[in-house]
Amino acid sequence: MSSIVEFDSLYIHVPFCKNICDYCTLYSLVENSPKIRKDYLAKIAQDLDGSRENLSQLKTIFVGGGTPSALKLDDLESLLKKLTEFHTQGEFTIECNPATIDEAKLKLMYSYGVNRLSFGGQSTSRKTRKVLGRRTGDLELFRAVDMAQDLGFERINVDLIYGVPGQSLADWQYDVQQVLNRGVKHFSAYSLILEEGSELSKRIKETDDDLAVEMYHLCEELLKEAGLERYEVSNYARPGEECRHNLGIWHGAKYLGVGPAAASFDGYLRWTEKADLSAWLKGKKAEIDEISPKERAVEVLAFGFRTKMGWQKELLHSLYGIKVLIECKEILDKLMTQGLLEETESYIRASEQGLLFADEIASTLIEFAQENL
Amino acid sequence: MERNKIRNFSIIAHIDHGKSTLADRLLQMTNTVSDREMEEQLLDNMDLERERGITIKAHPVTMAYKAKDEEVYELNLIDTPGHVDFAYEVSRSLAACEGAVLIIDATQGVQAQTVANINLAMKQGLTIIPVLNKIDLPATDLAMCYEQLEEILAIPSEEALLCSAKSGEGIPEIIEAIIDRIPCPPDPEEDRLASLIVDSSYDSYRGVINYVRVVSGTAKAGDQITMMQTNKSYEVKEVGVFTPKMKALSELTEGSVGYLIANIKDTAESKIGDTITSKAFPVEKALDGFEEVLPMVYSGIYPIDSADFEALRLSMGKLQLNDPSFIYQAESSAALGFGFRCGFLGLLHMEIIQERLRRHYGMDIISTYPSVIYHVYLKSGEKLEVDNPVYLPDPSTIDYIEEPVIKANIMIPHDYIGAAMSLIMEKRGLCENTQAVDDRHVMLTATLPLHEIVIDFNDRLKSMTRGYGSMNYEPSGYQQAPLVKLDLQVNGDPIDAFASIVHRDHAESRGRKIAERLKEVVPRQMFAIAIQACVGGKIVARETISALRKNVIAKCYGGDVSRKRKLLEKQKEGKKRMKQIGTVNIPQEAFVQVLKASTSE
Repeated sequence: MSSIVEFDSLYIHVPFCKNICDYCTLYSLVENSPKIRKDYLAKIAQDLDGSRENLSQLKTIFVGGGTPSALKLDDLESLLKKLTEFHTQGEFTIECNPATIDEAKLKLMYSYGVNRLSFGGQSTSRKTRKVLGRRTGDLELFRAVDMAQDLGFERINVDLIYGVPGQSLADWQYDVQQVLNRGVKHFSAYSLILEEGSELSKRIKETDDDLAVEMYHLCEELLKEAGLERYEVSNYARPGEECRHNLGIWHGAKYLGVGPAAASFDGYLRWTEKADLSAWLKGKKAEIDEISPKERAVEVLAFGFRTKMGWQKELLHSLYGIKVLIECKEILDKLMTQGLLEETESYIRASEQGLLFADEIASTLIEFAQENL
Repeated sequence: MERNKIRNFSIIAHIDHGKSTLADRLLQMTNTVSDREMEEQLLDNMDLERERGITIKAHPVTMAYKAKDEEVYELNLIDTPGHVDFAYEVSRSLAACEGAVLIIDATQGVQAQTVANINLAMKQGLTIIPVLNKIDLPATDLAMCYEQLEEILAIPSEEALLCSAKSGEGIPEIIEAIIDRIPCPPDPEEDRLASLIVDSSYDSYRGVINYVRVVSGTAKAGDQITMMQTNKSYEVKEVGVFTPKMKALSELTEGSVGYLIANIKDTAESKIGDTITSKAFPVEKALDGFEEVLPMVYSGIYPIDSADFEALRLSMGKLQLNDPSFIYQAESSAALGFGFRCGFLGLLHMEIIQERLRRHYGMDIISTYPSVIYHVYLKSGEKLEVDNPVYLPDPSTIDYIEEPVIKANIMIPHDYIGAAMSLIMEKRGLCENTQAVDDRHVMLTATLPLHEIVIDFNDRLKSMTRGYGSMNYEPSGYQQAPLVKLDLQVNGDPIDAFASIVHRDHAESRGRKIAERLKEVVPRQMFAIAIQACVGGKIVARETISALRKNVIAKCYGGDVSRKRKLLEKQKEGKKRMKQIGTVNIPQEAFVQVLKASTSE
């Protein structure tokens, strides 16, 4: 799929993991033969070359998965080498699993210009990790973070999961504090979602909503003390350290996703590559998500409310014209009366309460667009 | 077939005593159905019947059998339903027979239901062949069965045959007994056509299919016939028998049982119990028909999506074609919009109709709390019949209310007398008589308000007696009772669909239970929801569903916004399947729970 667009961001999906986490439904394989990896890397390079003319203005690159750090050193090098052809000194993030990262890989990343690391920590508590079916230990996480810092990485994120059955408020506080002690500048706190199809959903029930909300607020307080502000439902950063790649996705940036299951957006059309490595290797077409331009504009508007800053009206106008807000006035007013949205001269955004209801806001807007626009 | 070679019989049995299995064996033994075609419980041709192990529609089957005397006989099995709700269908089936095979599970003995059906059969002068089934099981108690046969049913124990329908043991003896003991159809006084409509079904291509018993004369394709009640005439298109598939014949002769198709497009013109006669040479007197069956339980059925109202009306129409005992009439509810008030023979019948609407017609429906017909006497001297709590007049205008009562025969092992008595008391019943039927079983006779037994009396009786208790009931008039209307309010709006008429002393506990159940099933919303149960404006119970604290999935989607949007759309779809009442979304489950709230745990 190619369009005559300049993508702002590039996403590479690495569909390999050492083992699959029980809660995860993102596409990944444990099988990892040298042949498959070579084929995969060749196809990535081929797809990138094919879109070269659309990738000259990249602001961010994000390599996610799966587990990018699960690639063998030489494979990782060939991927990084390819990516440097498109790298423009912007943000360059790689997701790492503390269990599969080592000094050599980190050094390699650093030397190729990777300037941001995102560690999937999940939990520092043995009890919580056990529920999640995660085998990595907390010491591995701390060791990996320390090592990365020693090597000179300044922008480091750690992901943790809360709302895990059996996890108490105190457990969560300890978890957050442990990570904050490492001095990271970015932090993601994801509430556990039991998605249909995940191993975990067969085993446990979702935790109580009230506790999850308390954890959400506790996390915000603890991080604030450490100087990290919430800037999206589940993301916190020191001012200026936000993940530009993800912010862009919520704010209508154009991004190209390369790799099986990777999603792309060119401003109007979204498409998702086959979540099947061999089908993707054979060049099976991506699945296109086509909705009317007006609905698309409202969709972008709707998901932007997941960020704390919300929409700078000028940005929205530059993307989809000045009519979007006018056409949705009726429903936006209603959401404001409900206290979920708030508006200033130049911004419209979710209220503090509204962030907790971001899905309610989004689905209300999407439904409105489907029925009225 | 010559009349003296025909045997018309039915099988009477309590649920699970082996009726369908025996019918299957008879079909195999007579080579009516080859082993290859044999499907478990062939006569229960609705998947619902098979799932619940009950037969609902009477369904005749014709079998040919070469007996020991080297003669070929035509055996017509008219199957009967085995549940309390369908006693009416039983009496209809029996009207087409000269005899009945009574199956008793030799491990369980005679059940109340069996007694009722045997009494029906005896009243109609049928020859009874008692069969003790399941003799292959170790728990068999033949002595008990013999005693019960003599004591309860006044049938000499030496008449009983033994069999195992499962293994096939004793089946040939049963067939021979059917031929030897059951008389052939009586010699008619007429030679003109008189044929009783025993039942009917509807086929969208061929119209009404009448299940008939030819009493006198013959019927064949091309004949001009008249329905004696409606006085309408038709040309016969086809006659035949069920083998069990439909098989056309050149004619149906006196004494035989089969089907008759005459291009009748409206089931209302083909009344069960009516007599079909010849247009040119009609008989003077119609055959004895059946009493028209009246629904005893009423409930509202509403489409979840009000746009489906017409589709629901059509589905109900089709359903009624095959089940005239189900009636419906359009009504509207403040909470639920447009729907139908429906009448059923009993609670099982109600469940089956609802299940069929959902499963066979794909309708998304909710049903309201079932009600019976109350006689409401106003101070003005006027009398009202109320089948919907919503229409109960202002209490200040009511002089008194009468509710329908039933007389129940409950048979239980005597260890459970205490439990059964307290169940009867809990259900506001009065035990009038206790009679020992053998040294281990007693028969209780009790009067109970119909409303109290429609929900779960039978189930409760079963579970408290470990399946050994059984009951049968018949309507027994009306009696006065201190009844009040219990209203349910959600955020101050009364929900008419949840209203019920209850005994004053039960109002509070029932109100509390309903409120508790609703709290469990109504999902939290963005605002707090108050659930209140009230009697005459006074709140008797209250529960609060606290407001939803969040609705956001804090999860990374790696930029797959399409997937995220589709998930949200799916969630919205789920909400649409709920009924929005005021600003509150009420799931279908809530309506089921309100119904269940009347049961104790």
